[in-house]
Amino acid sequence: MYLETSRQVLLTPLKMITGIVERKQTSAILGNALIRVDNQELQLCATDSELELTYRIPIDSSLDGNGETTLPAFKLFDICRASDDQTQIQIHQEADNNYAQVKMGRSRFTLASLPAADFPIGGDMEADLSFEIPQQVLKNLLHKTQFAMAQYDVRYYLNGLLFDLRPEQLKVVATDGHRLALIEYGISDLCDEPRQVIIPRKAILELSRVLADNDEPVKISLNPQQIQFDLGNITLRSQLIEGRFPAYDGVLPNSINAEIKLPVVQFKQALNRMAILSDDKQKNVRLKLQENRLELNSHSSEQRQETAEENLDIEYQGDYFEIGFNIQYLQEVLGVIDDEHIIFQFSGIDSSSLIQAENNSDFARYVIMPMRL
Amino acid sequence: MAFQLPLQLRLPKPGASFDNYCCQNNPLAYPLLQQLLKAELSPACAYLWGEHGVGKTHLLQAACDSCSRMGQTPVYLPLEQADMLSPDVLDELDQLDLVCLDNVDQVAGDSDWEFALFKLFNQLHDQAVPLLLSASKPVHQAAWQAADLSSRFNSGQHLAIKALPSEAFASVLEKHATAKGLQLKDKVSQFLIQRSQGQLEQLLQDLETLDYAALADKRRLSLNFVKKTLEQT
Amino acid sequence: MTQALWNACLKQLELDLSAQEFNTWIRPLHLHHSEQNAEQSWHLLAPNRFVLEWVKTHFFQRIESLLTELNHGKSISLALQVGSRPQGRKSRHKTKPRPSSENLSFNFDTPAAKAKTHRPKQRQSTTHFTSPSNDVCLAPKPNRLNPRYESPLNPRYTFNNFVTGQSNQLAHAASQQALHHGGFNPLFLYGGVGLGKTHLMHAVGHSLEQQQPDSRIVYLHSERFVSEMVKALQERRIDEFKQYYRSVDVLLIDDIQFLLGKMRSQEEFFHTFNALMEGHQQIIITCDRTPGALSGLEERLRSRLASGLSIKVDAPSVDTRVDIVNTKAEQAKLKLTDDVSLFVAENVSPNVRELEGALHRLVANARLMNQHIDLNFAQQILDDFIQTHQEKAWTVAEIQQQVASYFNISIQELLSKSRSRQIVRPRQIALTLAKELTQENLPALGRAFGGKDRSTVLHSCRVVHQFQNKSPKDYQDYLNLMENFRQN
Repeated sequence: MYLETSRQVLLTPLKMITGIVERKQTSAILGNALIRVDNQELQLCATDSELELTYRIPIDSSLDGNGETTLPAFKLFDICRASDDQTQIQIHQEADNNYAQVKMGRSRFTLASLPAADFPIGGDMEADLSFEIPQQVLKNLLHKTQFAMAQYDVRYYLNGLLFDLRPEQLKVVATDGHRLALIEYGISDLCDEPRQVIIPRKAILELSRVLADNDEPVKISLNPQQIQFDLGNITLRSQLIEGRFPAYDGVLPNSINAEIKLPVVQFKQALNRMAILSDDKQKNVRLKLQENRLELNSHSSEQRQETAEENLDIEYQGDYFEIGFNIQYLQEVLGVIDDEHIIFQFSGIDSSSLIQAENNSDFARYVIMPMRL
Repeated sequence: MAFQLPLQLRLPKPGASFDNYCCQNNPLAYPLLQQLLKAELSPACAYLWGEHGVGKTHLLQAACDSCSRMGQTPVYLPLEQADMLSPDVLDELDQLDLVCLDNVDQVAGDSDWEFALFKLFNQLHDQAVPLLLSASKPVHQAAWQAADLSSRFNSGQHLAIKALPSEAFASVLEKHATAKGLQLKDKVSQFLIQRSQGQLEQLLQDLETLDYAALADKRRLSLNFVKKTLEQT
Repeated sequence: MTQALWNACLKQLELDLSAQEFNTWIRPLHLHHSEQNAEQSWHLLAPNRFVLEWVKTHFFQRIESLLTELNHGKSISLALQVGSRPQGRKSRHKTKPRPSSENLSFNFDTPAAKAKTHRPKQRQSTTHFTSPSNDVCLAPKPNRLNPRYESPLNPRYTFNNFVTGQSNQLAHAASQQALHHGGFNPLFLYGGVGLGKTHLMHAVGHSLEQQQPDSRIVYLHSERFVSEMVKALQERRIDEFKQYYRSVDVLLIDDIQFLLGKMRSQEEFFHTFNALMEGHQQIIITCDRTPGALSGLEERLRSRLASGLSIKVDAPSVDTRVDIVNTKAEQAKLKLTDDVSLFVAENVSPNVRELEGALHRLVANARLMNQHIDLNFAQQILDDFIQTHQEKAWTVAEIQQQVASYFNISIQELLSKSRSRQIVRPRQIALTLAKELTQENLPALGRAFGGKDRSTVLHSCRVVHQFQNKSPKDYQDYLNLMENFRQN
């Protein structure tokens, strides 16, 4: 195999695919990236055996020789990173040789290669359902929800994002057991029977990175084990998380006892200030609702207790009550709200609360469970 | 101390079916109910009895599931909730393909219910519709007033359902834990089984408690955590 | 399409609802769709009104919106209706006729059962969903004018397989006489539960059906008579109802005691009865007691019932029971050893229905466990059954309850200080039974009966045993009750 191209062509794809590669692998080849030259096209691919990301890059064929190999992904990426954009890179792999030659400007590297035939990537995926949505729409759906995914929960099904496919809409849901994010997007004739798939956290994070802010379509294909996202020259394929997702309808508050409207910026800043004095493992804030006033307060847990307090003007005529929250959960919701105001609804001091953007243009809803302080 | 309340997330439970029935100690239950469902029993009536918590409800609901899969229409009625129901709920059930009455002995002695059951039994018998009953005791030990009703119940198949042997608890516990996405270390399982003192219900109840606590605290189920949590209950 | 939609809806509901809710309220429903003149109509069928109301309040909206969603947003307006599901079961019956009732064997049918399979299932509910569409329909059997008013005869209840003994030979003979004109009319068979009265009645029905294939022989349980009459009244077709029963050739009514206290039904039955008697049509009635003991029945009806021949069916002796067990076993192509037959006959119950039940159990278990039926096996399988028979100890309260219900009076009346004969007699009988069936001492018994002293208790027992000579009718009540208690 022989490949010659400029550093700038390789850098972004290598950066993206090395995001897939784990620092510690179970087998050496998973630390490698697949490089395949096929006539007019260069393919770069990495996998952790559950998630696989492939870039297809058009190249000038007169300089290249068809063939394939796998090379250590991080080393290759670091080599590219350590030079200028215009530098030419040549990669040469002789058949039956365990080493590949990489030339870049005046540098030469001999890298240990492994046979491409051993690289564990799947062939074409057989899908039983597929649909398309604009890339920026999907990016927004992920952006509005992914922060609520669990990270290392033993409940494996929480460490991912739910795609709840309904006949006429796609619902995307994430929850870590304390809060939940839900967004809905209408797609006509999506499926006949509702279907739920849970996509692993890592796939969602990588997908977010590769999605563009434009209306180019992303084609999403499914089969019972896998999901695949095709974005033109990029393909991301992931195993699905087996098992069921919790019934999330039940956690939406079913009766609202109090509702307030809050300006996003002021509320966010006030929370940032409250966080300074809250030194619990989970930083928390107490909200006190009283007539036309919202009082926030927090305190340190040290022996000489320090306190912080702040008032916001609101429209509120209901009964006085206090409710506690994990500050981070509120901040993260506010971080993805595009509107100037939120509607904050409470169903009780120990039952779930609901936050939505005032205009709620994208049908996103956030459920947060309070803390008992 | 500050405590984060967890969301009331409920995993959709897999419905009871014969596939997820642990038949240890009750090897005859499945074949018997299959015969009932395939209309191979005559009279088409089976009476399962056994203590609370031995899995009678599971069998009845599994029979409903199996019946539905054959494209037929079953019904399951929990008569321990007779207070909320009315004997009228038994009207016209002979149009269906299977009638399951759970804890039927709970209405023994109530003449309205007994009469409705008698009527139902005769209708089902006329139409050869299978009837599946469960109770805590053999027919004659319940306080049935109407001898013609109890003798009808006695005319079909009887099967005493026995509790799962405690040797099988470990695998049941593991199944339930896995379904919840929880992993239990061996010593944790052993601790829980010992604590349950042979009561499967207690065991599963404890697991529920731990599930909730672990979700609230975002903790793994270490032996320490398990002991501490269960001490509080 | 409809079925696919409903299945998808069921799948969702199964996930959303608790197992109990789903199995109790959703599984018995059926979705029906019809299209007429481009007008779509969707019906959700519930088996009865109670289920319908419950579904309406708890699940209806959810089901409707779920269906609309599954229908890709095309709105489905759903109507709830009481009705039955068509197709599914019918096809099952076509492909696989159910084995006849009381057939002891599971898949080896006896010749008798093969010759005459169970009648195909008939729809009987009055509240059928009748729609112009042809998949909900009621196919009337040609020889049954109106299946809603009668039940099928059980093909296993024939004279051929009726085992006679001293206890029932009179009833057997009288039943056979009913096959010929000039038999007794009405023939009134009475006795304890499960002793073969219904069997004889069906046997007459079958024989007559063979003799006179065109005659209309109608069998039903009296409770059914009551409920069908109530429905006929509600649905304003009482004339059809009257006309129907008054024009049958042979009327077989089971367990007439269920008419007690139901005045409107008694009235209707009385007229039916008279109409048939005038036309010399055969009537056979079964009951758990003598016509005379049917207190709570209108006098004129009671005397009409007693106007023919009343015959008691007794509990079979052990010898007869052994015969019964062996006969039933033979029908199941099963040879029982003598010790097993005797064990079953002696230990299970004098009640033939339960005797058969016990045999069913032996056969089923032997097949399932692939075992030979020996005495040990029989003892093991019938263990719970037998223990309960031996251990059943009646409490005073249970005895009071049963006696009160037998005489159709309330417990309060039974325990009152009333001196009315209607109350005193039952009270004396209840006291006597309580003394004879429980271990309670005299003062305790007195207290349990509203503060009677011990001499009252003893007096009652004496009176009851004097009934034997002085008042046979009352004594019969005592014997009937005692028999019921002993059997259980």
